[in-house]
Amino acid sequence: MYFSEDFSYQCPLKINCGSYALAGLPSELTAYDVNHPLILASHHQIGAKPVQTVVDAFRSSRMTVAMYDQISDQMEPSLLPMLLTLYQDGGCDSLIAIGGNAVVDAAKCLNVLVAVNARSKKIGTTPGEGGADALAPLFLVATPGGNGYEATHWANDPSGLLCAARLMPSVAFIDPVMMEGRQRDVVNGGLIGLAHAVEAFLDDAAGPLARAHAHTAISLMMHYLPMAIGGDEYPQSLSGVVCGQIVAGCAFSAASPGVCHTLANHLAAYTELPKGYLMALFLPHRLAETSRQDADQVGQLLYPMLGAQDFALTARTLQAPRAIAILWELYDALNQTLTVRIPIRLKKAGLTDDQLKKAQGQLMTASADNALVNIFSRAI
Amino acid sequence: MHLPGYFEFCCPVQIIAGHRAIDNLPALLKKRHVRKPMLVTDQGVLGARLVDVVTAAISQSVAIGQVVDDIPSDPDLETVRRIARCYRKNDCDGLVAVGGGSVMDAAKGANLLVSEKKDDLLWLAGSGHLKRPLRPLFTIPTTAGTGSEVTQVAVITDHDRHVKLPFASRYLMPDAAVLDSRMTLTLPPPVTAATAMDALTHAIEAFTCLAKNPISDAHALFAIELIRENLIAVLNDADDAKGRLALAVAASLAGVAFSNSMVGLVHALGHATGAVCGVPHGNCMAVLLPYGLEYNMHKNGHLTAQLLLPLAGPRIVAQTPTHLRARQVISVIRRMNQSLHRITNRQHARCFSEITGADGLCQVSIEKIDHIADIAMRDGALLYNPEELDHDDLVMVMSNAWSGTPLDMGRIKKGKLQIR
Repeated sequence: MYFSEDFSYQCPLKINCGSYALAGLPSELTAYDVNHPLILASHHQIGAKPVQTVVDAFRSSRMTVAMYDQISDQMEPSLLPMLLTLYQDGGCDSLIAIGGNAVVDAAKCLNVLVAVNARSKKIGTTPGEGGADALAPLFLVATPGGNGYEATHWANDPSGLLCAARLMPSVAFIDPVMMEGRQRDVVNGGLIGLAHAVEAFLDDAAGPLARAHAHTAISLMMHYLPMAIGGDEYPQSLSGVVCGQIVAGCAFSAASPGVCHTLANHLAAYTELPKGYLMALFLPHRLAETSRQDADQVGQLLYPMLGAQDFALTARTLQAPRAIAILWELYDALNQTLTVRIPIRLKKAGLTDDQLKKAQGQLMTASADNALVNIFSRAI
Repeated sequence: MHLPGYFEFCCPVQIIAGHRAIDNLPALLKKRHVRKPMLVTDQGVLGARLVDVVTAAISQSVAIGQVVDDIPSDPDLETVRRIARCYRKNDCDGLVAVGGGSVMDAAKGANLLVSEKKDDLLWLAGSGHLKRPLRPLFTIPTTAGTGSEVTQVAVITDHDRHVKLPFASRYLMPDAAVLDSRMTLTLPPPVTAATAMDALTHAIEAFTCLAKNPISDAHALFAIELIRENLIAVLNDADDAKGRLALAVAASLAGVAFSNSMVGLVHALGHATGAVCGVPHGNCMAVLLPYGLEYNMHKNGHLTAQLLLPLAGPRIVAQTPTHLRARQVISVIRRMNQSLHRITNRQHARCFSEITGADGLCQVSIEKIDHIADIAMRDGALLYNPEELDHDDLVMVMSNAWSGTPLDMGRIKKGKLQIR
């Protein structure tokens, strides 16, 4: 097993996964010595029932909760100042974010704003005991609408991308009662999680602990994503997918943004295809390109994908090709039930020849990495 | 892949690894506002001049409050109280533990006392008592190892009652663990072997016992693979820095695994044997591991079988029929013990009868087995063992482990609990 001889890894996120996980919400807040959370959610994304489920978790506690559930898909500039006022006027001391994407971004950014605001008022200045620049505890209630970014130390704010270890939530709750989601969101989030996990697995610099998380995420995705789409054991399988996303987010936080991530972002301006679909499209081509230099490394993916027996029984020279084939088989299986199918080529993703030429040209200009251009060309 | 009905996973410890990882220590101390740390270590580490590496790295940036360098193996309540008194007397604001599991457990115990402003550890024994973070604690392991540098448990001996007291809380986890290959380069072969088997046992019990979860499983598998790939090589070449680092990382991976999924029979008996007879923990683990797997095989053999890949490699898996893989795992471990016994010139014990004290007598006498079983019956680790055990079962396992003979599978109790 290859491992980097020089790495640093930290994942402060605690994961509580399974039946009645939400029942532990009040006690987890107590463990962080907080008792007045502000709950953030998107009513139109997840509906009223999941939000009410989270509120109900506090019924028998003596905690008071504040709530704002009107967060839209795009964070408006006026949102954060308004939430800051709500947080401060409500005497809140912690945050609970339900779901992912804009809701979690808003929660993370608000957390920074609260800390900056507190520092300017010189509140809590004792060093080493959570001084003015320490963030309030942020608790994540995961839903199938997420994609793993919520578990990372990244946040999108209106002006750009924030990155800091303290942005990671303190605890993630993955409870089957929260597992209802639209098929497209589930697949998109699952594919983003899978791509992140695979790229983190292949990033030697990330270290063995990140790789262990990536291994777990890949196994969970490969096992539960087809089941979740097929409707088998729905809450359980969705919990598996969401757990895989969260764990993939932990691995991704320690790795460098991978090729699929970069290419999907590059193409986002040209297509309305969800990002997860784009990353999934590039992933087999990325593996094919990587296996030209190090086929063994790509072959190692077979272990989390299929398990110990199949990995051991596959000839070494066939492990990398088989890992790539397994991905295509996964997409085929998912496409049997998907209304919006995962494309296997960029041309079949609705991009015109002109768009592809333009995107490829921009890539060649912006990137000195031939591998990136090669993978893009393969995927056309 | 099975998702448990409910599980929790947590390891917020910052892990820094490298051939000069200790050079990062000043920045770590600064980040957590530590200006006057207390160093906790033992005479062995001091004699090997490993503390000098640490003090050289940090003396330019902090004032070292005090160095406590006489931590015994299996620290007891009085040792922990003494460290706490020293911490308070010197106005320290953080702890740096440089040593093996005993030093780290002592540092964790002392951190409990100074942070909670108490003098008595007993009321903190068990879990769920801590409600807030402790003082900053940094761990630099000099063995590979107990994994204590990343775990949420500490074990302190109560000599009066001949028991080992467990303390469990996520607040016991250190702020950072620094894995530096220089810290284990001088580790003697028998200690290298025993501590590696300790790490292996952590990983294996984490994977095969009742509280396993998918995330701790992956950590356990990687730990086992790293130990398999590097242990013998390191014993044959003590200066193999890359191998030493790999074993240190393996020990931490195993620590993360078992800290989040607990252990079982092997640790229950190992704790008791250590408490009653003073046998080092790693030696107990090495001896008992194959017996624990044998005892539980009818319940979790399908899980044990999955360990053959990281333990022996794909070729052995391909050559072993599926229904024999669990047995093969046990055989591989026995052969591993045999190899370690040979490479260390018979200093690594394969059974308890081979462990002798300074007086040349067997350290685990047959007469003490009954008492060991009594103590083990009260060990919380048994709760997570896949198969139930009573006093007679424990005596049977210990008797076989004493003589080095495999268990008689016909005598193993088969309870009704089904394991998925």
